[in-house]
This record gives sequence, structure tokens and C-alpha cells, in this order.
Amino acid sequence: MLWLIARKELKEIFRYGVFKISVLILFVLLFISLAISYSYNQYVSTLHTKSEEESRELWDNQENKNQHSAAHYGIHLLKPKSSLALWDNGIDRYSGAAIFIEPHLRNNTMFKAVQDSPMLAKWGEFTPSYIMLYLLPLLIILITFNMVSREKEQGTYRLLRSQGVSSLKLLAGKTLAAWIIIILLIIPVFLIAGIVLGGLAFLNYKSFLLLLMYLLYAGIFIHIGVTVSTLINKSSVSIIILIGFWIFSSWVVPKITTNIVQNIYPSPLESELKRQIRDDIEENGIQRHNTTHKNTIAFTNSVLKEYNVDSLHKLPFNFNGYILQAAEDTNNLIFDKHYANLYKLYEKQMRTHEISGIVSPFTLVRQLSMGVCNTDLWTHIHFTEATDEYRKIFIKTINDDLIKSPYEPNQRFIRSKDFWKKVPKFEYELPGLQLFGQYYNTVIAMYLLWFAASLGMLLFASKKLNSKQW
Amino acid sequence: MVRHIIYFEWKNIIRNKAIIWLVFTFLLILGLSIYNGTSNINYQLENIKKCKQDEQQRFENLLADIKKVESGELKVNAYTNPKTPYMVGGKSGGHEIIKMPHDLSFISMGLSDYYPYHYQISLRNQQLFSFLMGDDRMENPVNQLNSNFDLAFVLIWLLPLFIIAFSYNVLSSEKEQGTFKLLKAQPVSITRILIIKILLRFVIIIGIIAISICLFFSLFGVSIVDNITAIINLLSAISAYVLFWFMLSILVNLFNKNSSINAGILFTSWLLIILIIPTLLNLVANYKYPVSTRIEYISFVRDATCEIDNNPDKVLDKYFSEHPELGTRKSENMPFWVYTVALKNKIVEEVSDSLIMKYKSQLNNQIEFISYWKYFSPAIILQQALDKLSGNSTNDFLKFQAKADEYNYKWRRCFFQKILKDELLSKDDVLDLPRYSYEYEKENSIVTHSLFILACCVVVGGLIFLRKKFV
Repeated sequence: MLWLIARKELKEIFRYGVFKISVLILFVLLFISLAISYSYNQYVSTLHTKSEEESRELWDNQENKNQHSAAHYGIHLLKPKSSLALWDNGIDRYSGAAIFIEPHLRNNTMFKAVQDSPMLAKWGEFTPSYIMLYLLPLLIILITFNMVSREKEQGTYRLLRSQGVSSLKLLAGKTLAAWIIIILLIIPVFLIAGIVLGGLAFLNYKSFLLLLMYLLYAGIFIHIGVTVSTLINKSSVSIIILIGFWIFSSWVVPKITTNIVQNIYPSPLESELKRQIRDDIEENGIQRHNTTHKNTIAFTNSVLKEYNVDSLHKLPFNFNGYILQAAEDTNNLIFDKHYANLYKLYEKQMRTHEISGIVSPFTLVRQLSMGVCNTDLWTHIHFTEATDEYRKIFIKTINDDLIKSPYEPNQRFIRSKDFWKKVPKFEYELPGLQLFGQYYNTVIAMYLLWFAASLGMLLFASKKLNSKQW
Repeated sequence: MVRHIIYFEWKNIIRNKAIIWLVFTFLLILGLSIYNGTSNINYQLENIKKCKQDEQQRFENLLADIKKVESGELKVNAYTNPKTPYMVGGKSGGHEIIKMPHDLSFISMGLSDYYPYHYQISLRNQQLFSFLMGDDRMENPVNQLNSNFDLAFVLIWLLPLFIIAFSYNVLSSEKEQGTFKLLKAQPVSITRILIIKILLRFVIIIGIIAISICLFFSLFGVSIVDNITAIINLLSAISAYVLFWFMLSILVNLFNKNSSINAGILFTSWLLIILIIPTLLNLVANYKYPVSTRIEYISFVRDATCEIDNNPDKVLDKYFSEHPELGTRKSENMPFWVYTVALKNKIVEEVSDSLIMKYKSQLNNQIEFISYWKYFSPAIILQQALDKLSGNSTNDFLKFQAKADEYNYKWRRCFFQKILKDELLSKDDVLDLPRYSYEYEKENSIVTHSLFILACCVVVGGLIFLRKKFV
């Protein structure tokens, strides 16, 4: 019986002209977005690798110079692009990809791609996930909005009941039909496109997780669609309710949440953050070059006292290097403190976004999709933290070398150029799914709850349908 | 007769509970969006105030420090001497130019989400050119991805949906209720009835928007009288946009389909005009005119400055021998790298022109591409109109950037010779320095935009005419 209903439904949907046209348009859009997203991704990732290599090469090929000048010459690091980013570019356009490593300072990532073409950025980025998360639900609404209400409007519902179909079986059959269509549409396209663009390496657990996220999201909409179609007797009202929900969930809630977040937990300006750090360092840190500062004098005296000498020349090491590294060590704690505060603020903001997931499954699925594709906020923070760890090692290696060289007050000591190559390289790999377990537990739980709730709604609708007199 | 139709229609509308709910929801989100916009602007103003306070504090400290050094009260070294041109031009005398938001800036956040509204005029800028500078925000990128719930969003995205919900079944509902035949029996033609029905709804919607906007504006402290031209402009653009959607609704209703198909067709148009066309345009513009990412610039600059980075002494000596007016080279008052950086910046300025030109011309190509294709989506036209009205349009920010670059260039020129000549500045010198500021020219006229939207209306009107003629 179940299968019979599903087959009848499938036949009807496949004969429905509007459906065929919509699927065609959706596929065309999906292929356009895949192709362009792929070429953009290739371009960016080669550019990033190339630029980082060039930067390192320039570092390696420096002439003889003082270690500290070399440290100031610095090095640029670039965020690698994940291979799944072609499905969901996430926040990558808004986060910046390059970071400059230099002493005394912790820099932020720069060159946000959105600044290169900001005119229509507000309208969204046309990646495959845009189609999966924004447009696919509309196709589902199109096939489900009148699934049950149509039977009532055409009077075939009484016929169905007279055949002895239970309302649960009826709804289950119709839901099954919608599921079959969505699975037939999504899975082959996802796998074929993925393998064509990403090779066999595409077939890993991350891709399947992404596919599962998309399927569950489609499922939520299928269940809601059938439910609304059952509870509302008029098709024209049910389509308005469904579209209203779609807009509310995918456009209104994320935006309003953003405004709420910005009101409760406003993010600081970069200049404001730098000012706070500057003041903190002025108060508690060591400024190497400001020799008249009280902290610098206190530190110098303590070192002299510790080694029981009266002049910096008599120290068993190069004091320039020693105080540079001491300043790094002290100030890094200050940087770490302020950045930890910033990340705590982000975490609070993200909690608020999560809470909005109670009314919007879209918020949840987008976070998960970005998370799987490694284009989310946490991956970005993971990268910036890794660059900062590297910065500490980079500067320490250079300062340690300076400590070993002879002391001159004016820092005129010149290091021969073979040293530059010995400074360790920046090795970084995108974190995979380990962040996923750390940050997305609640999101996953809420997402599964949404799915379960949508199934529950379906059950409720079948009860309701049963109790109604026809 | 016409009076009767209007009267009955009016009764119909106000007795429809769904419509009353719709209007109520619309007013709620309109108020919410204006509140969001004003609180965003207030945050901007707060930050601007902090910047100004910090700037003034630094300047006062500078003058005080110079006084102390001149009286011998304060001992300084090359790194801390407040009188060096590097300290004055960088840390302590550097100042901000600010693009102040105006009364109506909250209408559309526009590009203010991505571009900074203040630039530092200083020798200490890590980047020499504004196009390389960030947006001076530590904003959570997820927030930027979602962007704001501002008035522009409500008007462009949500208002058409309310219009659709308000008008998708003006004719089809008559048919479904069986009153269509009665209407046909009247001495007035169906088209005329349809137009009257739609016109009445148009007037109601515009009336609600006009009154509520004026009310909310004054509620959030925006003077109506002072901004009357801007508000009239705003309302005219909105009216044109609303008219467009109502005409589309007439056109769809004329096809005599049932209500749910009407709703489907109208929603699909919404989808096309608001979701698909703009995002596709964005995609194509990016693909066709890829703005060479600024990452390439890093290697470019490093290549150009390779010589001075590796042999600063040699290059500085060479520069002095080529420029005898600078005298003999001394470098005592400031740390050695200051001289190097000053010269290095000059070298970068000289070689960057071609790259900046390339970047800007690609950006301009994109802008032109979009302004050429925008006629396919009245939504883009309205967005641009609202951006312009609120002073957050692309053009406004590019102008501001150009000024920032000009001032920064002048500022660097002002200190370049002083640094190489190893001069120290006195208090009077510091007070004589230029201090730049930015005056934003307010533009209220968005008439052309409204006209463009009206042109879209005319196209739809033409289709209505054809439909009437041939069916």
C-alpha cells in the first residue's frame, strides 16, 4: 500500500511540468556555480601556495644583516584553501587570508576578498551550498505544498479513505515519494560533480558527512511541507505559509540575530583592540626600544643583579637579544590575553547564533556545512592561532641566535646569510573534523532535534487527519 | 460606480483578518529594522568619538612631551624623542579622517560593512594605500556573512512579498468564490475593476509606508523637516518599486489562473529578481573581471624593494649622492630603520602606480558591468538608490578612499625631507603641520534611480497591454 501511494505520487510529480522546469533550472544553476566555484578555488589556492613560497624564498635569500632587522623584514603566511571549500565558501571571503609575521606585534589576517567586489556582496555568494541550502528547499516546497490538500480539493481524498488507507500510511507514502525524488536528485549529482572536480580523494568521510547534512536539511523541509499540506486545507494558503517559513528561517532570523549579537556583544574595532593592547603593554609589558621606560629599566637592573655585574658588556650573553626575547615573552602574554578575550566574545556571539537555531534550521545547517568544509570561524581561528604559535617560534629562533652573538649597543652585528634558511618553516594543515566535535556538539544535537521534531509533526498531522470527519 | 467598487473593496480589505495581521507584522519589522539601523549608526558614532579622543590625547601628550624635552626635564633616546619627524608624523601626530554618518545613514548599511569609515593619516600605516587597508574591524565574519537587518533589506526583500500576499488573488479569488460572474455582469469592464482594486491597494500600502516611516523616523530622533527632500526622494523610489510589483501582480492575474499558481508565479519572479539575478551578476562580474587579489601585491612590493631591504646603507648613500640638496647623510636622531622605511615607501609609491591602476580599473569594470545589467532587476536599482541616499554607496566610499590616499601621500611628502635631513621639529613646527579632515557631500537626489524603476514598470505595463489586446 505504502509503495503504491509513493508510486502514484512519483508519477504525478514527474508528469508535473513546473517541476521538470524547476529541476532543470536548479541543475543549470548548480553546474554554473560548481564550475565557477571550482575555478575560483583553484585560482585562490595556487595563488596562496605560490605567494607563501615566494615570501619564504625572499626570506631565505636575504643578504647578510642584523638578526633583528631580518625579523622586521618578516614573512607572510597564507591560509590554505580546503578542497571542500568549492561547495561552501563560508566565511572565507570575509575573514582575510594573509598574515604578516614580525616581531613586537601580533597582526591580524588581511585582504578580505569581499573588499575586492563589495557591490553585490549583500545578496549572497552563489556557491553550490547556496543552491543546496536556499533553493533546494523551494523545490521541496513546490512538490509538497499541495500533496495532501490537493486530494481534498479534488475530492479524491474520500475515494482514498474508502479504499481503507490509514492516514499514517498515506502521509508516509507521500513523504517517501518526496524523499525518493530528493535522493535521486542530490546523491548522483553530488557524487559525480565531486569526483569529477575533486578526484577519487573526494570519496572520504567529510564529503559523506556534508551530503548527510544536506539530505537531513532536505528531509526537514519535506516533513514540514507534508505536515503543512495536511493541516491546511487550501493549497494557496499552505504555499504562503511554507514560503513564509523559508524566508523567516533562511533570511530573517540570521539577519536579526546578527543585529541582536552586535547589540549585546559588539565586536571591537581593530584600532580599538590595538589601542587596548598598546596601553596594556605600556603598563605591564616591556618595550625594548624605550630604554627610559620604568619596566625596561627594572628589567635591565634585575638582569644585572642576577648575574652580579655592573655593565651590560660583562654579561655572558648578548643583552640586546636577551631583552628582545624577554619583551616578546612578556608581551605575548598580553597579546594572548586580549585575543583570548576576543575569541571568548566570538564564542558568545556564536552561542547566540546557535540559540536562534531553535526557530531556524537554516542557521544550524549552514554552520555545520561551513564546519565540514573547513570554511568556518573556528577553522579561521585555528589558523590564526597556528600562525601566532609559529610567530613565537620564528622570533625566538632569531632572538636566540642574537643572544649568542657578541654584544654591541647599536645592534650593528651582522649575521651571515646562511642562517636564514635554518629558521623553521611554517607547516600547517587544516584541522579536519577535530574542531567539529569541539564546537558543534550543540549544533548537531539541535539539528537532529529539528529532524526528529519534523518527523513528530508528521505523526501529529496524521493523527489530526484521522480525527477529522470527511 | 467606481466609488462603489472602492467602497466594497475597502470593506473587504479591512474585514480580512489575514491582511490586518500582515500589516501589523510589516509595521513591526519596519520598526525593528529602523531600530537596528540607528543602533548600528550609534555604534559607529561611539567608535568615532573614541578615535577622536585618542587622537586629541596623543596630540596633547606630544606637545607636553616636546615642552619637557626642550626644558631638559625629560631624557630621551632616538626611539623615544618626541621631536623627531617620525614620531610626530607617525605615533603622536597621526590623525584620522572620518566619513561621518549623517541623519539618514541608517537606511542602508551598504558598503560601510566592508570598508572603513575612517582612515589614519600617519607614517605608521602598515599599508601605504587605502585599497590595501582592512576594514578596521574585528567583526566576527559570521556576522558579516549574514549582514544586517536594515531598512533597505525590509524594503527591497520583504516588501514585495507583502505586496504579493496582498494582491496575488485579487481576480482569482473572485473566481474561486464564484463572484466573478457577478462582476462580469456589472457595467464596468473587468480590467477596470482589476486596476481599481490594485490601485486601492497601492494607495493603502504607500500610505502605510509613508506614515510609518515618518513616525518611526521621528521616534528614533530623525528630524522630518530637516531631511524633507531626502525623505521625499526615498518615498518616490519606494513608490516606484511598489508600483512595479503591483503591476507584475496585475499581469499575472490577467492570465486567469488559480490563486496558488498566481502565488507561485509571483514568488518565482521575486526569486528571480531578488535572489537569482543579483547573485548571478555578482558571480559573473567576479569571473569576468577578476580583481587581482591584493595578495599578489605582497610579492610585487617585496621584489621592488629587494635592494633596499638587503643593502639599506648602500641605497641610502646612493640616494644622497643623487640628491645633493639633502646635504651630507646623517642618521643620528632616529633609529636607522626610519630612514630606510622613508626611502622604501618612496620607492614603493613610485612602482605601485601600475598595480593600483590595474586593481582600480578591474573594480571599475565590475561596477560598470553591474550598472549595465542592473536594469534586469529593479531590486538592484533600489539598493543602489538607498545606498546613495544613506551615503554608503560604492561611489561614496571610493571617493573617501581617494581622499585618504591623497592626504596620506601629502603627509608622507611633508615628512620625507625632514626625515632624510635628520631634522627635529619644535612645538611651532608641530602646530604648523596640516591637519586633514574629510567633508562628505550629501547627495539627496535619486531621481534617476526612481525613473529607472519606473521604466521597468513601463515594460510590465506594456506586457499588460499586450495581454489585454490579444486575449
